[in-house]
Amino acid sequence: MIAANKGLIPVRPLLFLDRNESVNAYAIGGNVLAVNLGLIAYVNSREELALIIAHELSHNILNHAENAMRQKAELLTSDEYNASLKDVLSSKYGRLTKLKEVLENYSFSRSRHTRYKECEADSLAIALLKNSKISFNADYFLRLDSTDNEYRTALLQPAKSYFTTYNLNLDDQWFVKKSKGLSARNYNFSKGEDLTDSLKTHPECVERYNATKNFNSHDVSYTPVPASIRETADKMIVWNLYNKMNLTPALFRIMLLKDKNNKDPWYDVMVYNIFAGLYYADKKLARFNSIGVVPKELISKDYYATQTLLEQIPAAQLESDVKMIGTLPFWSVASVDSKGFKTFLTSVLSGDDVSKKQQQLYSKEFLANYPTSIYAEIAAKF
Amino acid sequence: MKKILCVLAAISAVTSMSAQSKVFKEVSSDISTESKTIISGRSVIGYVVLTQLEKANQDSFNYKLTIMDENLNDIGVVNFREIGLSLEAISFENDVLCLGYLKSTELGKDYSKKKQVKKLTSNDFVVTQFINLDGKILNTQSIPATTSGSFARTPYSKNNAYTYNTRLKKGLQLEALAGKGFLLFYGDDNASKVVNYDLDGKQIWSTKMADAESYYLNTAGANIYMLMKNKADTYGNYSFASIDAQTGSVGKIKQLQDKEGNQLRVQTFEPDPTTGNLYITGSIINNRRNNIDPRIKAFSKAINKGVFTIDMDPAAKNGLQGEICVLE
Repeated sequence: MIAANKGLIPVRPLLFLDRNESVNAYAIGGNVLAVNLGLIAYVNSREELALIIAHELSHNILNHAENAMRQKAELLTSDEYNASLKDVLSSKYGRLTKLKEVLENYSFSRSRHTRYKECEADSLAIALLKNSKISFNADYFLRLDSTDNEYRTALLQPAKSYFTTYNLNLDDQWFVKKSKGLSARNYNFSKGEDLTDSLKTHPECVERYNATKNFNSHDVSYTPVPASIRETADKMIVWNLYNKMNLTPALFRIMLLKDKNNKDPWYDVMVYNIFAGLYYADKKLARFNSIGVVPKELISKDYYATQTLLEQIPAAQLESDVKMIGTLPFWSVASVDSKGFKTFLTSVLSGDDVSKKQQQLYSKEFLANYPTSIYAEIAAKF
Repeated sequence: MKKILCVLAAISAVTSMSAQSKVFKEVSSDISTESKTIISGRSVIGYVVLTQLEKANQDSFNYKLTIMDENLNDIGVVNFREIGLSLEAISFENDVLCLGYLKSTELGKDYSKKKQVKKLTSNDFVVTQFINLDGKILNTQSIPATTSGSFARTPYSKNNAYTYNTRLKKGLQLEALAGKGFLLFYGDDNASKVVNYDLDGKQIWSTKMADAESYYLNTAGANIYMLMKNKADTYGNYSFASIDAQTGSVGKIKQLQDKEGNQLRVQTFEPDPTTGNLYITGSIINNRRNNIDPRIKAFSKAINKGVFTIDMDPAAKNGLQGEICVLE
């Protein structure tokens, strides 16, 4: 794309890979852009990814980020803005409402402007793709409508059945919320939750589809994203979630991958790591934070059941589950560093109170043996 | 020249930012927040945060009520406008929240001069607000009340402002009546009352309680009980009555004392987690020593004669069936 558009992209852009799991990419100006891991795992073809990268490149080519910053600076120093602020201060009543109006008017005009910029970037992106002889299909925009729905996805099997292969003795009741709290009630405060249309920064995907469908390539050819890249992206996402101690999304993503018939034993290792991590968090009285409880209206019933399991599984059961998973046959095909990390976790979890100093010794030992392992990222935290 | 322009632009930006900060600071200084825990069946089921956002006009404020679940996740927001409110109590039944406020025409207002406040009188009310889990305000009930309010210097105020503080003679209490509604208790200079509302916030009955120093309203299922302490400066002197849930009529008031006439000192008055019935526990006071100064002397004078437990049996007459166990 760069070679075919030398006039527009004279200097090779700096492209970052963001470890974030959300399906997104962004341009920050100065010929710098970033693609999230979530997007790599989501796209079906290289052409789809190329469209999104072309879109972000277009933002940089059209100086959208720089212009937005300049416009913001101009607005903040404008007489009109200062007069609106003075008006807020001189008002006796409704000062917060007035201040909100000032800021919302600014957001409104900025959002409208941003949406216009998005359309501009779409148009230029199509031109960049055409110059590069990369197929364009407006259907991509329709697919973008269903991004970031992973945690709303239903599993193919009941949540409990995903743990039978690990010989875990999980009570059905642990998947059902026992709380009398409001989280388990049938509440519906939906009013005002959705972004009003005027505040959205991107045009609706359908609008984008309708605006660009006439430019669809005729001889459409798709190149699938190589399976190895997608697999690596999936693994990196699960690892990053685990590394951030977001245990429910990490576990749920593994369950979704199992639904796609993924039999990679690394995910079994990660199930062990997640249970061990939860047990460690429980010992440190931080189980709640490691689960990352999400309100039920934002997730599928299966995600809720998984989250509820992690909340309600008794600590003693967690301990025996960690031991059980640690003895399963998949460990015979696990990598050396995975086994080393298991030893590290077992040492850290052994006994009631492993001292900080002792944990640091275990960490030092792991880092010395496996300095380039991904697990070193966690071991180094001790 | 370029440098001068840059410096001027920087000065302009800094001045502008400073003006913006001033606005944010002043607007945020008008915002105040109070929170309460929602408890149902002895479990914390959520939290409510009442935020006074801004003065809406001469008398009223804009309020935001944020309702959170037991995990502190917001589940909804209710906005409304009212004159000055102080959130006093919360109850929850059948997916309806009942909030008890003290409302006053002077609450939340600042006065800069003592002369101003000397002339002022406040109209105060006991307010109950009923909100369902769809965020709908089902009903709001308001009862005029005479309170012991006064103007006082606002603590840490830079401009020596005077603000109104008010409280009821007997603090506001709210209890859920299983499957039926809510009970409000309050006491002002005129009377101490229990008011019953249904789940839509409609008043069913109101009943006046006998005079007492303090009151403890409690319910077990659909049974209503009132524990009263008649004299504040002694350990004992408790009395007890059940209230008919249908009519609000108050049953015979029984003095809490053992067969020998010794006063009972109440330590616990709450539902039994296994039966759901209320029980009272505490110690039996040696009557001869009941009137001594209940402070350090009490320890040396051995005022406790034993301990007691009374199980409130709704089937028993007046709902009271005592088991007094004396440990000499």
